[in-house]
Amino acid sequence: MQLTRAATVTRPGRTLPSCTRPRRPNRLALVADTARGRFLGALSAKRRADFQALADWEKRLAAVLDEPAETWGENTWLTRDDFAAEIAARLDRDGETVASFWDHLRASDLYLACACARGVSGAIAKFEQTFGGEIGRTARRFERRGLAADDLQQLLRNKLFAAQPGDLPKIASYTGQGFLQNWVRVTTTRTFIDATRPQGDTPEIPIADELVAMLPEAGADPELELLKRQHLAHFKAAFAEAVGTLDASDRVVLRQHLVERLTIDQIGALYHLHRATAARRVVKAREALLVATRSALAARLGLSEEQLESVLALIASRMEASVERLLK
Amino acid sequence: MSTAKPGCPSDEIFTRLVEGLLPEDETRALEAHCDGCLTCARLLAELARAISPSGGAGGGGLLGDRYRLLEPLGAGGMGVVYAAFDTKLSRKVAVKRLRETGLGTPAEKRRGRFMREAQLLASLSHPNVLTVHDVGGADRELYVVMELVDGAPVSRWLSEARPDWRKIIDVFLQAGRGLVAAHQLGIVHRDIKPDNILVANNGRVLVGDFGLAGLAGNLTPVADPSPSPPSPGSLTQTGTVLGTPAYMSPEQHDGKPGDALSDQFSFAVSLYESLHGRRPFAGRSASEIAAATRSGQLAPGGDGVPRAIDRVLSTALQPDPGRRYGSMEDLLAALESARERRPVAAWAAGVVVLLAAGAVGARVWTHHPAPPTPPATVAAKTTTPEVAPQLPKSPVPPGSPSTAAGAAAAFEVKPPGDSDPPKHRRQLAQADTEAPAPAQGPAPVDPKAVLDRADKLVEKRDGKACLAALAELHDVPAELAARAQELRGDCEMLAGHCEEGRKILQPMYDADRRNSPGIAKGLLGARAARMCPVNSFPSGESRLIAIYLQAILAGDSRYEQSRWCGALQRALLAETQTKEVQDCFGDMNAGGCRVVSFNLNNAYERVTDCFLRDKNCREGARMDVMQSQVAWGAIAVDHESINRFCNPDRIEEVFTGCKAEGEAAQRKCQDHVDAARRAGDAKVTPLYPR
Repeated sequence: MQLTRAATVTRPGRTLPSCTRPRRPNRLALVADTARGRFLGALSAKRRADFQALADWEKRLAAVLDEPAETWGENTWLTRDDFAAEIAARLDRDGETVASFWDHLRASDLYLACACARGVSGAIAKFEQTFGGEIGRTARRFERRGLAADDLQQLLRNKLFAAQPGDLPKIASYTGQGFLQNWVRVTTTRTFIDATRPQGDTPEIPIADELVAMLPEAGADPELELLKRQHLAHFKAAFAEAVGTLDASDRVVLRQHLVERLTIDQIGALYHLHRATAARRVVKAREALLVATRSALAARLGLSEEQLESVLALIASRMEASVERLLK
Repeated sequence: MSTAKPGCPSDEIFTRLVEGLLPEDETRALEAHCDGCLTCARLLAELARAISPSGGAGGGGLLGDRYRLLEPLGAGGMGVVYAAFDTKLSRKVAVKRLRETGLGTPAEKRRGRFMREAQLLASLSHPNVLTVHDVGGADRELYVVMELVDGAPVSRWLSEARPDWRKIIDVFLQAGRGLVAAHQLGIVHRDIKPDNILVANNGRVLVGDFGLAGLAGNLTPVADPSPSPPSPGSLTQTGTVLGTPAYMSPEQHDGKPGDALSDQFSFAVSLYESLHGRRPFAGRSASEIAAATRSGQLAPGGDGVPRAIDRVLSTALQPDPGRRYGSMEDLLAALESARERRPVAAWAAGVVVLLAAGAVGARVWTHHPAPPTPPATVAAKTTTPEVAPQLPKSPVPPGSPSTAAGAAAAFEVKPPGDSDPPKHRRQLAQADTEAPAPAQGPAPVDPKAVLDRADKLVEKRDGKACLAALAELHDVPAELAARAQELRGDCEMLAGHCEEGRKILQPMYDADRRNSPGIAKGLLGARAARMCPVNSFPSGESRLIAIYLQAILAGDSRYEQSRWCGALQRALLAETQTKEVQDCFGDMNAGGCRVVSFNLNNAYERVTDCFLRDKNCREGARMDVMQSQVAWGAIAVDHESINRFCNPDRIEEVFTGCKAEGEAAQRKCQDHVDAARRAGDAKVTPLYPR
């Protein structure tokens, strides 16, 4: 898809379609508190009733509307009224209850995102100042031959801030639920993964094959080489079979640990688990894999328990050792 | 245009995962998707790198251009604490990164308040307050830099040191002095609990995490299924309940922000719990606890703790703040006198009246040793009791001590209730005997807390203490039953009851439909190899595999790593001396010997790593040369291979700081081999004496 230039970025004065196209407000409501009126007017009847059932809804609304000024300082990026309408449009579309939406609403973040979606240059400058550092670091991680970090960043900027034909800039899809920083991380990372993926219709390698490929190369390890030479086909098949018997979350965590080489702390941070719990998850998945390989191999080789034990003591400890090596 | 491919979870789902807001079932669904979708699997991994301090965003960079984060020390409701290195001052510190859960109060406002409190706290220097060195914010995330203390929170200290009640009171008196100093500056803690009181290895007691409760929005623990419903006319309407429900005062349960008297209440709950092993107010949920605190109905005491102590606590635990002690200082004075009273005749009650009235200092009439004075780096600046124990205590707080005076005035510290004489003094005067109250009724225990404690003990591999902890569980709620069973199994194994442990865990593995009987058996076996004491295995091979697996765990462990490495080393050396192994040193190709040499080699390698990671160069180097001996022991002694007997190589690979020790070990090993060759010993036992 051809991206249009980010004209909006360079010409902030232009009148732009609002990113959410709020409904026309009720004229009567405008008389009292214009922002409150815009907000309530833009809500569907059901949502409006739910919102007004919240305790102290007037205060809570006012607090949210005032928050951006406290965070970003007084500015004219977005009028209070327009911001109210933006919130209402998102609340209307949100699938959660009104109370949950409100509890998780990051008003200052949403305000910044909406202003960016409208192409306000001051807001975009603030966005760059706030998130530019991390985006730059991420871009450098994904940089490769023919695709410099600057190119990646330019690509991301276009996507975030430039209105697409028939669609809104990407940043307009931020709903204010959760920190903007995390949303930016997700969007940035996904954009960079997409941009750096090999061209063409590369079929995705099944994770089992990927794990098998991680087994140490023959030659590096005489014992394993012997074993592989003797039983390579069986061993691979048994291993793949074993990977198949794991459940999805075990496989995902093994992949993260072995292939992506995430540390226990990184896995813990991703799932909000304590280090010990994350470590247990990895150990559990690893053991399940070892033992499943063991029993699949026994079945394939037709070995007795005892014969298998001695062969497998070899595999088991070697595999543990190679896994350990992978983790460093 | 959306970048997400059709069918891929939306960016919002991933954002919610990162925020910790994605429910369990949706997390499972996301994982199931990532299992088949490489793009999303990569996205997950990249996100993990971006959010974790050791990689990604930090990118090896410094927090606040100054602090390099090292290993995480623990995680709590409010954030994760890391050991960190202060590159400016070249010292190790603790850095707490705070999650902003931000409900209600605008982020910047909360942040401003937090910064002010933290800066104020940084100005407070007291031996019983964890020193705050610095505060800052990076990427909209706040962090606090604190003194790194070698020790344990009271909750852990209790289970490790098993102190008697006097020792517990000593610790809390010290902690209380820290609180007094903070209160004099106008700083309220708001979240006093045993986890926030640290007992350093040198005996010093410190109160930490001041004022942080005010920052981190909603602190109702996630595990609590029924947080207290917001009550009308209070802060709770914005969703802000501060503190930890079990330790919170009734007024905090009502949504009030908490003051010095609320700290007194939480302090008393913590002390009560530490003394009696259970909390004074029973309840399964925050709302039940809140109701119990309002009723003022204490769970029965007992346990050999003098009644006088319980009476003091019951005053501090009054639901009406006006009926508690006027200040923390008063509470501490009452505790001290209650502690130092001896079981004497009834006339003592009269003395107590005098005491309580503040006419006589407690130590004037007893011969008990004063509590250990903490290293008083700044003690001279404050007039806390340990500095001037002879001063008679006044029922109203004495004038603010020198350093605190200015700040105190600025913050208008008004110890509430100092105008009307507290009614509790009469209660104290009613003290009759010191006889411990009889134990009554089953103790209310929080099963979740017990399991958390057991979990930590498993990590520390203390099977006996873990079983003792689990013994406190009377009835386990259905949703925790599986976890309790698993822990019990692990703890039995750790305590050496291997068969018992297997029996307990067996049904769990059998019930997993993915497991064939063979797999179930194997998984259980692997678990036993990690958990059971090495010497509980009947065959040499299984002992070696157990040493190997446990050494991997030990190398990663944060607890008592040295002791554990040492125990595994002893087991391994003993194993090496067995006939089965010694016979193989002659001919490693003999029947069965290849497996032996293989397992032996692996075990040596891992135990070496264990020491090296623990930075124990001497033992690491020793095990390293032995490993090279074992590895080359497969080859008959000849001139070609003999030189390769004594080559330490793991040292370079794992920890490079041990060069000197490595060389020394190599020389010693070579001497041993040479001597054996001179003596014409055809079969060099590949070990050298210490």
